[in-house]
Amino acid sequence: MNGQNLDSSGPTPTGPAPTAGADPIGPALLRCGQERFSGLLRVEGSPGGTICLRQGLVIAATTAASPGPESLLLRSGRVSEADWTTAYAAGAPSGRLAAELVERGIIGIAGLETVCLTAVFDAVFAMALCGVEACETEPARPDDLLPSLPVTPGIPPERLARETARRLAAATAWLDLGVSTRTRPLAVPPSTPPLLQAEESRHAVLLKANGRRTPRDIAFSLGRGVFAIMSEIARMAGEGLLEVDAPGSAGPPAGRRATRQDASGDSSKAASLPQRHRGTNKVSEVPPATAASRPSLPRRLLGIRNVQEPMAGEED
Amino acid sequence: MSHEAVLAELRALRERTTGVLETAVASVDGLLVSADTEGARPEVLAALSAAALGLGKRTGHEVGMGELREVVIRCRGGYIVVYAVGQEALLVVLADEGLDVARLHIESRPTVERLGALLAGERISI
Repeated sequence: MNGQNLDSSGPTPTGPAPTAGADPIGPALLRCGQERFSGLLRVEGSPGGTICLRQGLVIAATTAASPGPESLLLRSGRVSEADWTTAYAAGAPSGRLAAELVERGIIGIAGLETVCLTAVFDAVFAMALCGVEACETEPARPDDLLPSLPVTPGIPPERLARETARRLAAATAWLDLGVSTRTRPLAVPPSTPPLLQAEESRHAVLLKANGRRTPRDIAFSLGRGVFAIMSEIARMAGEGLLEVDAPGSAGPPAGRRATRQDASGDSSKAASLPQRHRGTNKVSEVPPATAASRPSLPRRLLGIRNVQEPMAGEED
Repeated sequence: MSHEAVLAELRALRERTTGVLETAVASVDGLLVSADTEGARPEVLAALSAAALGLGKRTGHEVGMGELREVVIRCRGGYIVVYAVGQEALLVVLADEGLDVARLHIESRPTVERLGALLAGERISI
């Protein structure tokens, strides 16, 4: 709870400032590109993450701060769980997950490439915005697990650094509206469904903005990028559709406290932990099984055994 | 109130750990103490978590892998992690699939310690 409103105090927060110039990922990426580095760039921060490079090109980025390609595909409903499981089982062990998804007609190749690309840009932006302490390279080893959905052939680091700087600059402007990574926006849920299809995404964000979720949480729950969600929130905050610095924003809905029905008036034992009392469990109200109430078939049906009906009195 | 303190611990864990969505504290036999939940039914979550913890402990014991650290359940939409709080309580954490599980284990240690103290403290004082 402490510090929950740090960034609602105004455009000059005291936490890690998301200024483009101070972002250490950009220079580290450019260095990796120049050295044609293959391996991982470990980003230390909160939450930090990893950027995977091959021959100086960025092929994947993983962080807790933004949804990866799998979340984007599944949570948005673009790929069904059943299709994903089939393609994963067929392709993932041999590093052919992307090929399986496309060959089975689950998603178009251009659609898949866009999602993978979006996920990398979003991950690097989210890591930089959340605050980065240091970046360390870790050369690739032969037994490293490769990312399951890489961008092929990869993103040139200059392009990624340039785009990240542009996004960070946009995020700096959102601070004036009180929108940051720690914002937990609160909206009155719209009572009517959206009239225009274009409004559907804003509608979805409003429905998720319950004062508990950060932009990152909303991005995960909708299967969309953090940058897209934050810009949506900033726009709607500007229009007054959302409250972004709700007092006690971590509060609603209030946490639940256990009802003390189990204490049953025994104040001498009113300890913090509720206690079960013998005989109060509803299960004990089930009458004991009698020979007549037992099912006529033996209970152990899974094993291969005599399938004949048991003779009377043969059970047990 | 100690229940407020328990709730404050739960909220603090959610706010400082990326990916954590809901949490609850229950006794090991599944009765709810306090919950910072949103969609999950707290009483049901408490009962199921207690069952999961018990099953984890028994399985670990059966195969000789020693003391239980925590129970981690991974689903398509995220994680359910159950930690024992002392001998008599548990902490259950629901998180989305973006959770860094290793980080949660680190972040939850002090929470488990403090919850243990809060629960034990009240038990002794009353």
